[in-house]
Amino acid sequence: MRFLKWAGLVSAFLVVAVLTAVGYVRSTGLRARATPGALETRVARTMRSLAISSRDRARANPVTASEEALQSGLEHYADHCAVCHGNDGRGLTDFGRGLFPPPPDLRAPPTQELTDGELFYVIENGIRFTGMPAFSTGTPDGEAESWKLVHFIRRLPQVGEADLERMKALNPRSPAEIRLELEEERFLRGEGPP
Amino acid sequence: MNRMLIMAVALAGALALPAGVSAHEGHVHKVLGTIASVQATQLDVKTTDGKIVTIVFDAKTPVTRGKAKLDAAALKTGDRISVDYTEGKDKINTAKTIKLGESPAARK
Repeated sequence: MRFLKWAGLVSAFLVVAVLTAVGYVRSTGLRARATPGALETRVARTMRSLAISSRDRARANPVTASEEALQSGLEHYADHCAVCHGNDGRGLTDFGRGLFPPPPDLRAPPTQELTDGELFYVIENGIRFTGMPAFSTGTPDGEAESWKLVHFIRRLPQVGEADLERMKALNPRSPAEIRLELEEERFLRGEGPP
Repeated sequence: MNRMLIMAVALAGALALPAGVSAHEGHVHKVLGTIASVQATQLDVKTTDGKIVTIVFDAKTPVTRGKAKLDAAALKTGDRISVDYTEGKDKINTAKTIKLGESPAARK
């Protein structure tokens, strides 16, 4: 009798869970072009926080925040991160707008208030069920690059026009974009028919 | 075998269709041409293949010539121009950046 009672409760729970999942899938269409609600955002951030151990959270950045390290971080960021996060860190790119959840504004408190260890963990390990990939190479050089990126993310709220211009030149471009850029330069120099 | 192939094609189609439908939204376009007419917040660009593209801009739209930053008053009919713009759902083209060609004097 007791077994039947438990089996009934578990079955009811499973039915509710399945119906909730089906409702979620049907109502959202699993479309990526949407904005997560406040509750979903809070739950996701709490889960991310739970996923990072206190040891990882407390890790200090072993790379000195020199100008050289910052510039190296800037170059790495422009080449690997800006396609989603944008050169200014706001995430307002074609890719960023189309992701669910969208990339966070890296200049804003929810990111800037993370510890260096948490930022490093996210860069190295990525975040499941989001567009954030894991960039770990498993090498000391790769880790050093990620720590330099942490320094650059700290700089993002103060990033200036000169840095943005430099990053623009370092952003990955397709052969078609390079062709179009050269065509534009020639046209603006007055070459070819107007 | 045939059934598996049909299922694979149907699945690929179902996955590709929504992406194709929304791919253009918010995408940045570029137009090269000369300024056919210019008003306070709107300009007509005559493209290299003779079409006219109407684009709106505002005081915040960056206008440059080479590395020099200019304001919209620098836009003159007949100037060579390159505009990066987005097309809204309302079919209005909004400039993101406007680049002017070198002045004839600088080319000499």
